[in-house]
Amino acid sequence: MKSKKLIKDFKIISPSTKEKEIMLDNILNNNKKAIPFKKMLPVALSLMLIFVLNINSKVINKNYETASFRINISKLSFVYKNKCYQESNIISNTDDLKKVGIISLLENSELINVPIYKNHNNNILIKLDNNYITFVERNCFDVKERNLK
Amino acid sequence: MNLQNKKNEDFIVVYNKYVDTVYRVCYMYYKNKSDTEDAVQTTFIKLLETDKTFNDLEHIKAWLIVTASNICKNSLKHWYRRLISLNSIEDELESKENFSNLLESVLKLPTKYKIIIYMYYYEGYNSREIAKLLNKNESTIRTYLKKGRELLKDNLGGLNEK
Repeated sequence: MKSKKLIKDFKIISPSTKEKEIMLDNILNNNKKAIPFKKMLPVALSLMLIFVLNINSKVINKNYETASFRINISKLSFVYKNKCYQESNIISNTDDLKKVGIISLLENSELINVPIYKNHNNNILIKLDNNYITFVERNCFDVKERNLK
Repeated sequence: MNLQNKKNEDFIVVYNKYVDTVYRVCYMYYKNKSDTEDAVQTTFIKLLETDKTFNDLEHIKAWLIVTASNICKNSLKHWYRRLISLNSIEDELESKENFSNLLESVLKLPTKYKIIIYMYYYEGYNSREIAKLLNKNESTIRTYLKKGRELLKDNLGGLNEK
């Protein structure tokens, strides 16, 4: 086997400087206060299904910021104030949450309003059934945008 | 060396030194960026939280590799991971354009072979060290290496010399 070539090839698999910075920022800023991802799985899956089915999502309160949603392999993402946020199972601080928006989602054929919160670590959290799903800033602009029309 | 309750600078030094290693280990399992990034973050958060005392940087590196492997293996056990979406296929197709045939062939190998090939060839661990890290017999590691090389040779059409 061409081990030298393989060693060179392995080097290709590495995050960019920007991605490293974002990950480090997320790691240092996140504490253990949010609900574990496992408990959020049913909620996350139902949300994911909604987006996969191309169900319309829109901001219903014009006073709040617009969040455009994208979808990746298994993660929900959205853009908020020119930053891309992606669903994460890392633990996020739920203290000092500030409500920054409301989105309208379809769940079990019913339109529900879901608040979007931001914590002091600049993570975005979506509240559903009194539980939070954490979204962390990621360099995910290269993810193909899905038109949710 | 204990990273818990220490200044962030110590942690950042370790992070910068080993983030690529942890990233590659996780990429071997997931083959996609977003899951890999999540697992990398979870691994380093665990490092921050652990009260384990490390002997030196090599000890931390070994701990990170084992912890990252366990995190990835555990997350892949979930039933929802077995579902394949159209997006994942698209991503896989896109990634093929960026990697060489050799690396693509390594990534296609079963996880138990590719992770050992990565640790042996890139990280420079010998079979005894890998066996200790992964809690397996040394002979099992040597068998996996041999089998991995054979599969690679088959995948690449038998053109690559040992």
